[in-house]
Amino acid sequence: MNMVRLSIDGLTAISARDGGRPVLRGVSLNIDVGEVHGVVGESGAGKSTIAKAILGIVPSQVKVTAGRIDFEGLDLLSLSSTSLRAVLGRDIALIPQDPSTALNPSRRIEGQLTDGLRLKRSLSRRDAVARAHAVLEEVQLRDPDRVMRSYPHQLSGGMRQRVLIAAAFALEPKLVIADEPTTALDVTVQKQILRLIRALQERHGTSVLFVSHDLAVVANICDRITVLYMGKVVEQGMAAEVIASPRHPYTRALLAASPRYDRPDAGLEPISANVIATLRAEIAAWDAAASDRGARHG
Amino acid sequence: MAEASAAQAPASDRSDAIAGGRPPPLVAALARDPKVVIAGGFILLLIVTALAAPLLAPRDPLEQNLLLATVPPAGFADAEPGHVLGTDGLGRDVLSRLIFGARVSLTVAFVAAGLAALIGTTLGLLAGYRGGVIDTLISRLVDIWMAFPPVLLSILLVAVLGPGIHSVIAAIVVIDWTRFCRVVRAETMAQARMDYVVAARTLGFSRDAVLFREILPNVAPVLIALVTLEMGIAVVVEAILSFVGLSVSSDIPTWGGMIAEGRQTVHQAWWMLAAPLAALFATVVAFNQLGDGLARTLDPVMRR
Amino acid sequence: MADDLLVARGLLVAYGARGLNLLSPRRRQPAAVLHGVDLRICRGETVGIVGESGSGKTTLGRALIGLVAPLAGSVVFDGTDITRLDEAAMRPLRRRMQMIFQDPMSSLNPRHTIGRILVEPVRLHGLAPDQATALALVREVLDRVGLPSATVDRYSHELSGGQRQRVGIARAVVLRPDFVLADEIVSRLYLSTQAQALRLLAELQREMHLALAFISHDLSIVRSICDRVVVMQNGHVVEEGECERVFAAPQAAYTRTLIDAIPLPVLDPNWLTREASVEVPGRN
Repeated sequence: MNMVRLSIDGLTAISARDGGRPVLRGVSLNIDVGEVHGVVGESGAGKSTIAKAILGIVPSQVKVTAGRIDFEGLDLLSLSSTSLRAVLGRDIALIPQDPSTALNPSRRIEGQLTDGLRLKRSLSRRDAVARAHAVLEEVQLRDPDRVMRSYPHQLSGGMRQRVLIAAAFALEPKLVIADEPTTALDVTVQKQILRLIRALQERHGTSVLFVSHDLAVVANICDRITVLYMGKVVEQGMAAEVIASPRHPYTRALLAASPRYDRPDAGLEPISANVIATLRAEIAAWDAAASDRGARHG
Repeated sequence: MAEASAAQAPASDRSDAIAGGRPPPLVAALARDPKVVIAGGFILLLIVTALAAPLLAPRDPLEQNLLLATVPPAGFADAEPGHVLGTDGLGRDVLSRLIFGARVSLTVAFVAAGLAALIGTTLGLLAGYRGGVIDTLISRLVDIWMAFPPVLLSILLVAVLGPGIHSVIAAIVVIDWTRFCRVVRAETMAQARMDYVVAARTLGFSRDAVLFREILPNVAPVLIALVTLEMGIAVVVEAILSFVGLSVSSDIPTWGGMIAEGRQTVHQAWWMLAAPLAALFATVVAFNQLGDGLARTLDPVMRR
Repeated sequence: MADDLLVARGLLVAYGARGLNLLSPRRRQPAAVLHGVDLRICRGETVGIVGESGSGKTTLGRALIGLVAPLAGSVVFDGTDITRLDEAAMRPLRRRMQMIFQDPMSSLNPRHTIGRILVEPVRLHGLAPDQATALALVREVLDRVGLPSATVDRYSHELSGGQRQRVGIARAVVLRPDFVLADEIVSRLYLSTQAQALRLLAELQREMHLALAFISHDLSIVRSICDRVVVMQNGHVVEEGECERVFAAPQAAYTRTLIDAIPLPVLDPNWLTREASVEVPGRN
């Protein structure tokens, strides 16, 4: 029986700057212990907002108006920032998207890796360095000592991403949020990084929330998939089902639009107006129901 | 990425109503910014006043009347009719002197800022667009030039050229052109990397055509903002120079000169100091706000 | 061969080789980006140029279109070596070689209306006797790429990314060129918009019998729209040939690794752990 690690229920958010434009529309999803759950959608669909809501770093113009995020019996949305900070870093970690901006260019890697260990696990400097060394080996970086002594600009993009993955897993968190971790990488490096994330995840039993716009990547690394369109969950299910027999026309359209080198005649199908119309109708229906709910609770 | 709108826009572009946007984005955005409107309005008023000085000034600014010396402004005890801002130590009408002083300040502001902009922009465009040896030479020139102490240079120039508005303008231009050169160079280099510049080259436009059609219009907004700021600086520099007597000849009223005179009698006739100070302050603030508003409004249009 | 339109031989491009700094005692070491590359594109043919970062594919594209001067080698366009030409001699050839850019935002001057962006090159090359005719021509092209006629009065920031890219495509074909260089033109677009843009490009290519050089890091897209593919790594051509052959039976180890690294939107439990026959050295 799988235990649920993270449970998002009816997460709703609006953008205050755009006149209350909905950013998330009642998103619900569960991540089990040891599961990799992919959230896939095009830019602007709201997938990053979900990740930010979990981490408590939603930008100031976005307001969460409804929903819960249950983690270990706590509703993350209702925690004070102090309590949230205790949870973050130790139990929830982030692998960010862009390795070139996620590391401080004026500090050596060693300091950046040991920061979290010393703060969250109260390790002494020596223990923290030893642990950092061990985790750099785990991410298959040759010569970890040299890497630790280096500055970020001395490492390649792939190496930096490995460092960030090491930093995320170093604290043995229960949940790792990977926000488009391979989008900025070359395709050969991407495969190695994906393989690495999966290996680490399996070894440590960590749950992963994998955010991506690339359906092909998500299909190959995730156990479960949630498809998002304009902040609304369009389809959800085990990866095998969603990819092999998608139910929603949008998912089918996304699959049809993806080019495939093994089937040159398939793919590159533009998304039809019908599909868009269906999506719009669903969104309008949700919006109408939401304002009814709001009016009733008023 | 500015792709958010496409998530809402359907696949078919034909049926899509493209968001309207007339008149050109610049004018509309400018008219919406309160800073630009208020500060710009004030400057405009100042310009009109300065141009129409002989018509607007109630009295001859040089006319002395020792019987009505150090009269306070209207509303205070011992005020005289016809002297709204009072008179100075020699009985000259403060308001009239202020209005004529505006002429000097604004002339210096526009001419000095204009010339500095012209020289600096020309060299900056050359350096940024041509690159290579030309850029190296111009950049080194700017570096060396900026190493000279500006105040000393100004005083030297005025001493050599003799007093007069031309010296003041020369002093400002000689020092401030480097600021324009640096900013324009950086902006030009940034523009030259843009794909639309490359596109113009592949379409067959000559290098000069590309500079004028593609790059200059995009450098212009930053330049305009810088020019307005420079005008504020020029006004202050003129005031400082006339404060120390290195500006125009002493019979022409200047705000700096009025401040110098007013400083000596500040306890007996505070308005002699307050009036030019207020005028100077308001003018410089207006230029700064205008420049700030312009920079902020014009930039996002370019760098959406 | 009579069918050859663009032939590049022994292209050697290095950055930093020029630009002697008079006041600096040390000359900067040039970094070679292309190490003697050969390429051949026939009329009406679509050739994909693929590679990862540092492969030199972008530089190759720019050398083909005469934006980068090679240190050695030649680029012969329809019989003329364009590497030896000055600006004036290049101008008439420019009409026949056009380019579509990666970033729809920065490839259109934000200060110009779309109409102006498209009309000016038409007038420059004398393809229309007056403004009115030029504008009519431009409206036709806009219609062909699926944009409403009213677009001529719009500015780039008023259009969506997909619409801007269509304008880019329109600009490339409005002069009726013989050769078009498409440099990662769909990388910045949504998946749904990518398909539209690529279809449009393929249609125009067939209608106008264009020679197309399609630079991309995405092998799947190249497989779908290109006749031939050229695989690049570190400034060298590693493999080239008909798409069908290269994808079915890649000969170079790097090509095998590259193909194997592409995820497909199918369930393949072995994909993640499967290694291509040769590990790519030093690519951490």
